[in-house]
Amino acid sequence: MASAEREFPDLDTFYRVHPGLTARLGGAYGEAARVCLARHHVPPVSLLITADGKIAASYRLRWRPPSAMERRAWGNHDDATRDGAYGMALAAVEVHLGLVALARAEGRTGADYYVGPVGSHVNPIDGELDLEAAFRLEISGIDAGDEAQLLYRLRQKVAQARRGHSNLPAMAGVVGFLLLQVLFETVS
Amino acid sequence: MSVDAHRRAEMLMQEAERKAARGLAKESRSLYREAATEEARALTHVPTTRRRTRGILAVSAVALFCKAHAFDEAITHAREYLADHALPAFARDQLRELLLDSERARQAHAPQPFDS
Repeated sequence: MASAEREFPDLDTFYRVHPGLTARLGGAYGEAARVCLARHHVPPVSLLITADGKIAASYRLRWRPPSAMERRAWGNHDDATRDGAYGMALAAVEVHLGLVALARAEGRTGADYYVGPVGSHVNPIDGELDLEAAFRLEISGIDAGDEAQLLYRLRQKVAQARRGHSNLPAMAGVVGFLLLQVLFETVS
Repeated sequence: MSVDAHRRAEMLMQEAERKAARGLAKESRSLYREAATEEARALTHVPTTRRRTRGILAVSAVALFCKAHAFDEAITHAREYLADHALPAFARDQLRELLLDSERARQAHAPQPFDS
């Protein structure tokens, strides 16, 4: 039932709870997400989030329709899908799993976000950076496509995470804008 | 100290990406170099017992030097970090790959014998 759905974070302000996102970058991710959603849907909609194939929940998702200027600014389809997926996945990991983006780090093949419980990136004793309990989150998005394609992308990201970083705990997250689904899988 | 330095590095990375997206390659590389320096600075403040944190920062710093096309610095830092055997395997694997990438890139960019 729609009334039982939790609200998905506001895409204009979701970044505020993520210490690893600045207002500028978080705002851009949210803007890209709104543009990608508006390609296929009119708010409000129901968004399904699934973690490790079993913990699923439906969320009520509303967003401010993008202006003509915002649509033009995100005219590069692939860039918008990539950055929109970052916004959606980070908002989803917070509302569904209680994890926030703690830090961003560059890697050989691109940037990763490290996610963990709120406040866990600063050691309470010495005040220095502490990512010992953080998970690396690999994010990907698809604009259109069916559920099989979304699952295939998830498998790809999981395999990539396994190959690249042997003993670093990781999680893959994929966003389907047409499907209105976000899938997470822990890489063991 | 490491929290502030890493934060500065993140902001510089974002600015570098924006410049790169606008085709401003030189400015972008300069910002990546600053970000790499901040990331390397952050690492010096993290206790040696925090192995995963140090590994994440080490890979990040070297990857940023590569993005800056500062291959000599990438090689120097990668070798220095690889000498720290306490770094976790995921970081050592990536550092080795980054070191190879940097050495190849430096060779490709090296002046040829008859360059004026």
